[in-house]
Amino acid sequence: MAVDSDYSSRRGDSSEPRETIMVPGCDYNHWLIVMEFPKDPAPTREQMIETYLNTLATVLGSWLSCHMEEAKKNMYAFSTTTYTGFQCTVSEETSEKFKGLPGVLWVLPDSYISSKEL
Amino acid sequence: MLLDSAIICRLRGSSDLLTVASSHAALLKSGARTASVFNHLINAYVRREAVLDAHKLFDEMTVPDVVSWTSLMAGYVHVARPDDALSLFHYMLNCEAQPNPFTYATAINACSRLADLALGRTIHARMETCGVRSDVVVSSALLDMYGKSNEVDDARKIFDDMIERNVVSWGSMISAYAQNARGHEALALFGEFLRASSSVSLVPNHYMFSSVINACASVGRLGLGRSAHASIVCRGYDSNEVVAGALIDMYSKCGSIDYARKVFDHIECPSLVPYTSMIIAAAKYGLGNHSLELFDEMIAQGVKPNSVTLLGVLHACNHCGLVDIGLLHLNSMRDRHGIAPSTRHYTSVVDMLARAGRLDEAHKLSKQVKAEGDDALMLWSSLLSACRTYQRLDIAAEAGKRLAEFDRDVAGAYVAMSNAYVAVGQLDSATRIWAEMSRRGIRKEPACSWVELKDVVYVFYTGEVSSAGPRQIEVMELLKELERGMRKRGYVGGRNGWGLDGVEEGEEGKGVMVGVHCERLALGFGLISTPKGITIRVMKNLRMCKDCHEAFKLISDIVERELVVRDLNRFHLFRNGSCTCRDYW
Repeated sequence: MAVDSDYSSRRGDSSEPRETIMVPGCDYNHWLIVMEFPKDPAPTREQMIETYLNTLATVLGSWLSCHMEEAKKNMYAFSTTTYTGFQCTVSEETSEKFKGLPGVLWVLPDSYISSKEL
Repeated sequence: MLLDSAIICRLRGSSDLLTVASSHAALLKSGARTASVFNHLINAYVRREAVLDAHKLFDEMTVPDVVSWTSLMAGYVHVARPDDALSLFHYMLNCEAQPNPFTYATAINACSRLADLALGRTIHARMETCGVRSDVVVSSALLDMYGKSNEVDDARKIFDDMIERNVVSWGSMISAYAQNARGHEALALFGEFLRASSSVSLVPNHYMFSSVINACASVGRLGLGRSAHASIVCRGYDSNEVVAGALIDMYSKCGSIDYARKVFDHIECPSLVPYTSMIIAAAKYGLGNHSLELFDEMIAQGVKPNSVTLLGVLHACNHCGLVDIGLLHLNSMRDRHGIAPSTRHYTSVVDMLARAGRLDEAHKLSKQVKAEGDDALMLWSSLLSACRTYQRLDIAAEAGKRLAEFDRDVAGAYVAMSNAYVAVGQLDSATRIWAEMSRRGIRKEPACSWVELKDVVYVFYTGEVSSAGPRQIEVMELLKELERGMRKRGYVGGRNGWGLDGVEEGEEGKGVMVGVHCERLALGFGLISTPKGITIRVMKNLRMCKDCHEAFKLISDIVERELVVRDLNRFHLFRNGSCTCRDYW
């Protein structure tokens, strides 16, 4: 069925869904987890990194100490300055588990491109 | 000479007018009167926005050179006097000095601010003949001007011709698409930019990110918006207020009021843009009281609202039926906030009155408003659709007549009128309208809904489930099962053969037995394609119909998931059997 574009011009382009636009490197298997920390007292850099690893290990299903190693391998980037968070390789379904964990602010699909710059 | 260089150094580092003036005095005393000295002074005054002082200096020069001219022109543009900048440019062309690429770029910027496309084109022509046009600074300014003047295709031609592009050129082109409701192209270009930038080390700036986020908002693509958000966080731009405002707007438009609120809550001292974005977002989700609270908070913090903020406040009152509060705001905005009500404000109030059934007041107000073009269209359309609900054929007839004067969107008007007749049982009148539509070759935009799953958009038209591909049968099975569940809970809809509300009529415009409504198909597909507990977001191009609204409430309870529907006017958030609009839409 043809959508007569004259009548939809008023609504801008949101009434005509179109084909896929892929942001390069966004495959829903790489995620940016942004965490928030208290300001006073603010944790040290080492403490932040440990929190990152613990959070990731929790999601990867850890109760065994070897999962810490797995977490270290899985986390391909992190920062404690420009932003407070880390990037990891998990499926979309697994990424949902981050939501609701203490200190997790955002769970966002990571574009591989941005991570290369770190 | 040594003394002069020291003074010039101080001049260049000056951060206040006093330093500039004292350096000026020092140079006068030392007798330095070269063009270079004058230019440094002019530049220094211009940077401190003392354009008239700069101009006086300029007039003292016997032979101002191109740097003098350009600095002064740029100074005028900077203090929002683009017409003075252009007069200078005109004058310059008549004198000996030759404009350089920066001069041309400044002149083009002035045209942009003045929205003088015709003059811009003349200067463009001149730049072509001078061979200056291919310079990256010139091209960027030119493309920005075309973009701001809504000549997006011309902007693209300039962009494509550029051999060298910088982040400003890419940003201006993306922004041109985003601002002109061509969000898909903005995002496609951003994708190209990311591919190009990895090899040429171009880094996106916050201006580009704002445009990208705005584009995501306009196309309603949550997945892309979230990816862009990730990129923004990684580069540390998330604290930028313009970016934050854009994120709030995007999350709201993409069906996620909770994320929008999260962004807002994390801004320490919100300014005008984030407050306004949040007020509008809450309004669209029927959280009118929250909008009004935010507005009060904003005023208490000393942040001055603008016209758009007040429009958000009126929308909040509109979507929640807070009619008297809305009228109060309309009548007090000039005195309290210094904002004169515009046509948009009046349209929102007419819509509010109409929706609440106060049609005579709405009618009276709409006759007082001097609306033209799109604004008039919206004004009379909202009046007309309310007439159908409240069965006021007298007003409907007048609204219909006014709308018929427009060439565009007449279909909507005709359909609304015919629905009005059907609602009161005057089928002959309805048939006459359908015949007229047929005679004039007017076809109503068919209803469609879509869901976005992992960056792929699946579109469904009423009665057509083919987009579900191999899972069509699953979708239909699920919908049947849900229908059974709904009937157990007392659902009685879906038996009516006449297409009302959402106007799901067949192509001839006659009421026929409708197929399954598109939003239900989209929902069904979303339900089978996502894991339990995930929120489903459905976008529809028309107003959601009453029947489906009831159904969605029940379904949200049955499947224990949050459902968000964005329809033509607003958002519906279904949770645990009820909708945030509280059945008032």
